[in-house]
Amino acid sequence: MRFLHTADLHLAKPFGRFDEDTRAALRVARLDALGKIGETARAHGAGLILVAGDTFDAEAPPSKIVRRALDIIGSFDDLTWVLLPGNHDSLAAVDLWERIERDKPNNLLLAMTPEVMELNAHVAILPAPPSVRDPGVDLTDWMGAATSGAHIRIGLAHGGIMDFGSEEGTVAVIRPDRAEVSELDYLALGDWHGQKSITARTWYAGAPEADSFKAHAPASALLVEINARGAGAQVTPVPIGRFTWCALALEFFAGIDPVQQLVDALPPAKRDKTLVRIEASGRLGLLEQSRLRVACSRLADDFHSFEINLDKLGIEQAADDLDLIAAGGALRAAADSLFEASDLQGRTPEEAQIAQIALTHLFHLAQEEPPR
Amino acid sequence: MKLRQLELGNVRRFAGQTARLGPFGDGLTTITAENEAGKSTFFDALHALFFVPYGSSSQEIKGLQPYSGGAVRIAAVVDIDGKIYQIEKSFLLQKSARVIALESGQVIKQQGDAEAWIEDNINGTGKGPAGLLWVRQGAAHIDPEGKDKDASNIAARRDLMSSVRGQIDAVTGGRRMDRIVERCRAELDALATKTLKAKAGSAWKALEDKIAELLEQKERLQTDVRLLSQALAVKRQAKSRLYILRDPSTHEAREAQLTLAAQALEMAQQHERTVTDAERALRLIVAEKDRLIQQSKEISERQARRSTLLKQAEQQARQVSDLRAAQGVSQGALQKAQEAIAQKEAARRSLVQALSAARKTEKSFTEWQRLRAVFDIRQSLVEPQQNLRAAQESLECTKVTQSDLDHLVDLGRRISVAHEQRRVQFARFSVQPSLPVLVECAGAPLEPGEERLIDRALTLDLPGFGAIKLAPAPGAGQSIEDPSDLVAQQRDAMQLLSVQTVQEARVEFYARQSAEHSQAVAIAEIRGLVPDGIAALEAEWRALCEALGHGTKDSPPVLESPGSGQLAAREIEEKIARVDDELEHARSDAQALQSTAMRCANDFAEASGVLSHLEKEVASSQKPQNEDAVFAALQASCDETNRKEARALQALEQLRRGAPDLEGARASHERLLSAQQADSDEINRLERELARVNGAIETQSEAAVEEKLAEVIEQLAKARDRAKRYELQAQALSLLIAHLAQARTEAQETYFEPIRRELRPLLAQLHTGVEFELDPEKMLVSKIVRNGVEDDVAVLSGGAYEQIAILTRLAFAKLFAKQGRQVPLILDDALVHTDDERISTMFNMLSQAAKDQQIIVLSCRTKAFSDLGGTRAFIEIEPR
Repeated sequence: MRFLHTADLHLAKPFGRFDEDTRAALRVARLDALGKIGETARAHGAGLILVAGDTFDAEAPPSKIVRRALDIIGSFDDLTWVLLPGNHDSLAAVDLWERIERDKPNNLLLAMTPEVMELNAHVAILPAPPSVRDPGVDLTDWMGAATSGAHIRIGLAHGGIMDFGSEEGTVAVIRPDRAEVSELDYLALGDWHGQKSITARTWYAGAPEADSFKAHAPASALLVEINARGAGAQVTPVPIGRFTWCALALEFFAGIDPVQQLVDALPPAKRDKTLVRIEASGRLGLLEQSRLRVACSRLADDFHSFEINLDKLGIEQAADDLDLIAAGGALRAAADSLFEASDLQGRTPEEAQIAQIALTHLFHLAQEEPPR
Repeated sequence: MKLRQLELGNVRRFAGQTARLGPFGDGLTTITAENEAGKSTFFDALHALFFVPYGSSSQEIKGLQPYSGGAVRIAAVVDIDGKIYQIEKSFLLQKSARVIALESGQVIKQQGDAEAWIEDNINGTGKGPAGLLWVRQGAAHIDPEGKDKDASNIAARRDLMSSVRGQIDAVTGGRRMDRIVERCRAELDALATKTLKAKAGSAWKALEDKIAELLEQKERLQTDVRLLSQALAVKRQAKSRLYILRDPSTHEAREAQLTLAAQALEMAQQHERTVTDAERALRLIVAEKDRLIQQSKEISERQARRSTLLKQAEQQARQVSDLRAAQGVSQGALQKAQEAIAQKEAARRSLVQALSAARKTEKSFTEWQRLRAVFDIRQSLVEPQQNLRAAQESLECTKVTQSDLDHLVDLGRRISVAHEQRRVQFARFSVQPSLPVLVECAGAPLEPGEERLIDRALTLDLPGFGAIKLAPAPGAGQSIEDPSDLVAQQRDAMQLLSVQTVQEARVEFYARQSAEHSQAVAIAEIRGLVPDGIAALEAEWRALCEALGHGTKDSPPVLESPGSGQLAAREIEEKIARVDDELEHARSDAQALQSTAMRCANDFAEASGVLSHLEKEVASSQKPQNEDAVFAALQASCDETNRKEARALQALEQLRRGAPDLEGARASHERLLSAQQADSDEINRLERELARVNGAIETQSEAAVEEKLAEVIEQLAKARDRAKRYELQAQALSLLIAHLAQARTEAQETYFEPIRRELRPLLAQLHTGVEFELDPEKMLVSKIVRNGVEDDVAVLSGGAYEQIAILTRLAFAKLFAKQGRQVPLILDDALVHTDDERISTMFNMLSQAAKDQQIIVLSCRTKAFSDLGGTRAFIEIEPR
């Protein structure tokens, strides 16, 4: 049998730190990802889609979002969808699951109780739905004692693996060898937004549409093929996500062209579907910093979102740079004293940062007010 | 750099001509020529050559063009570090610029390169302030880059140290620094308040407002999310509970329990009714028994009451008898006491009469005593009164007082003095005629040998001889009183006093003095005897005489004190007081006895009333005839009723012992009913609760409160980051402004201190002990202090004003010279108001300074400047 394993769609996630257009685009992308999952399953001949929790970002998402999601699932009526509650949309979200139960299409099955779900004569799903956001116990415990005859046993759970951690710091309690000790052919997990293989039969599918700058593998779902009980699982990632979240940590050094360094580090393709966040560090001269800022301003429009934090970028003292403010005289003296004040020695980081901003601003003004 | 020669072609008055000015020496060069000779034209052209690009068609350049038009050509020969160059520019037409090295004759720079060469070697800062120091008449205080940038002020502006200014600006930041500081201040002002808080209307403030708004939203959304969570929790619990409550097996078990409990309750209630009937029958028997006992008890009580009344009546009769006897005794005692009081009151009345008589006697004796005393005083007054009258009579006869006497004596003294002074001051003469002739003086005969004073103009008629006129010396005797006037005054005064001589007046004065003394003594004696006056004494005398029936002219008798056998009033008063005390005691005793008598009478009346009442009760409670038979029958009925009661009690106890637990059965039944009802109520309540929370959940979920809260929290974090950046930006701007201000202040101090050192001795030559302040903006002296008085230079005289302006440039020039940088100083009619004395001092200073630097002085004051010395330069004009 062949199925698609996914999780952590987090429909209705707000993305409040971004501007309105980006927020809307990211929200739409998550709903689109659901359709893409269906299309991918259909394209790969997978009749079953397992969603291992956190389909929704909140316990009471807007009904419009729920309605859209159910409509999309219903539109793939040749596929069977199994939804497991996650920690964001746990069983505690009774209203949500009541609504879904009431309005769900026929091809959607809800894994709401820890008991064997025999999908057909060959496949049994063993779900471990979280009762609350952070249950604190291993809900997959029951799987070991559960009998399912000759069915292919597929565990479906959401949460962190013991000794490995969870996405959001909740207590990680699932045994890493759960699939082996409970004789599962495959344990489909949700919670980690990056795709991970814990054992050959235990996988986190990862979010199908990326939602943070954490360094995860490209957003995708897992195509799983199990030919027979105990025959092992063939797991293949299939790309789903539309947006790429690119977090860069760039350390700059005086003398090395910062603009070129920046250009080299940025992804060359699909920039309009890329969100960039850069943490700059190191030291650059005032002119280089100015050039870097100009370059950032120019490059920002290429990307869907572009942020660069220059707070940790120090100023490298270069006589040429200070000469650009003034070769001598009071302006130069002011620049020199500000440069001294930007040194951390004997100052708080904030004091040094204020002096650095002042010096950079003086540089900027000096360029706009050249000597006459 | 040093100027050597200037050459103009087709400039202003030199239209179509070439004019040369030079040569300029190393030190002082003077050019003196009348006005309109073209001196200033050379230096306007020099300014254009050094500071205006050759391609310029500015007003300054057009101002150099003659009315006939054509290209304006300017050239200067300069010495830079020992090498000679010619700088040439052609303006307006045939525009060009060239620099020629005169030693080789080669053009080393042209056009733009030539301009750059000029900038580097003449104006630029690479070799320091190699430009020119200008001072021109009336333009010493104009800011070169300030308000007067229009063309009309070009001449004034270039009089100042434009190239020096450039270097100072390079040190202090100059206008560029101003612009940067102004921009920083404007940015800070637009962003923050003076305390570096977000300013109203700024983007920062808008962000702060946004943060406040987001915080409010967050709080509201947190409440909504909390309510949503609570609603979800309530819904979970309600659904879970409803599942249990609606379990059918639980319902059936409860119904069975309820049926059994109802049956048990019915049985227990039936038994309870039987017991209640038995209890009611028992209560009837007990009531009958109680009635019989009560009747027996009433008969016994009546018997006891009769016995008691008899005993009380006897006891009361004895008490009435005792009270009657006591009443008689108290009445007797009261009567005796009242009799004693009457006796004492009679005795008191006798004593009061005796007291009145005694007081009358004592008063009469006192008045006779006083009469005698007054009589004695009157007798004592006779002599002093006689003395007083005699003194008064004497005083009436004598009029001379001390002042009168003093006046007379003084007039006598003045008469003597006048006579003596006349004798001393006036000459005397006498006549001794040898013939018996009548000599007359002032018309009156003069006896021979008679001495006369020449105290006035006199004419002496000497028969047979003629007249001799005599007169005192002028002014003699002017201060001497006239003795005849004084004698007349003395005579009049004595006449007024009725005396003939001063001695007589003195005797009268002494007699008056004696009379005054006697009068004073008599008055003192009288006052000692009658301090209130004689009239008061006489009035008292007459009053006493009238009161005692005594004649006013008679002498009063000598009295004896009242007889010893007669009681004095005071003794009688004491006796009356004793009788009063006794009366008070007696009345008090009588009052007590009266109270006792009244109490005895009341007690007796009360006891008699009680006795009468008891006698009536005894009479009314006579024993009935059948009382004993009735009492016996009642005792028999009681015994029978007791037996019935015992039987009923036994039956009731048996019923109670066999009774089921009614309360238990009822509690069990009620509990089960209550549980059933509670389940039903809870189901209803939970269904209502579910309906309610469903509505709340739907509302909150449709409002996407969780999503919005997360969104607001993220927006808030981002907004706070941005606000923090604004705060840092404001602090950075403030810091930047502070550093710029500090740097400028320090730079100005550094730059101007050497200038001050150079200027101080120069100014001291004109004004001893002068102090001054430099305006760093204008590079000029702004204030001077002479003898402790501070003056703004603007209020100084024109002479002092121009001297200070020149010396300031000279100080700059000296400083540059010491630094090895030669800056020509050009004074263009700069000393026009200075007086001759000061101009000499100025010439000395210029000559001294010219040893180290080039100074070019232009003036129309040919004569005055002929003393300046130095190289003389001349204007040469090539003919057309």
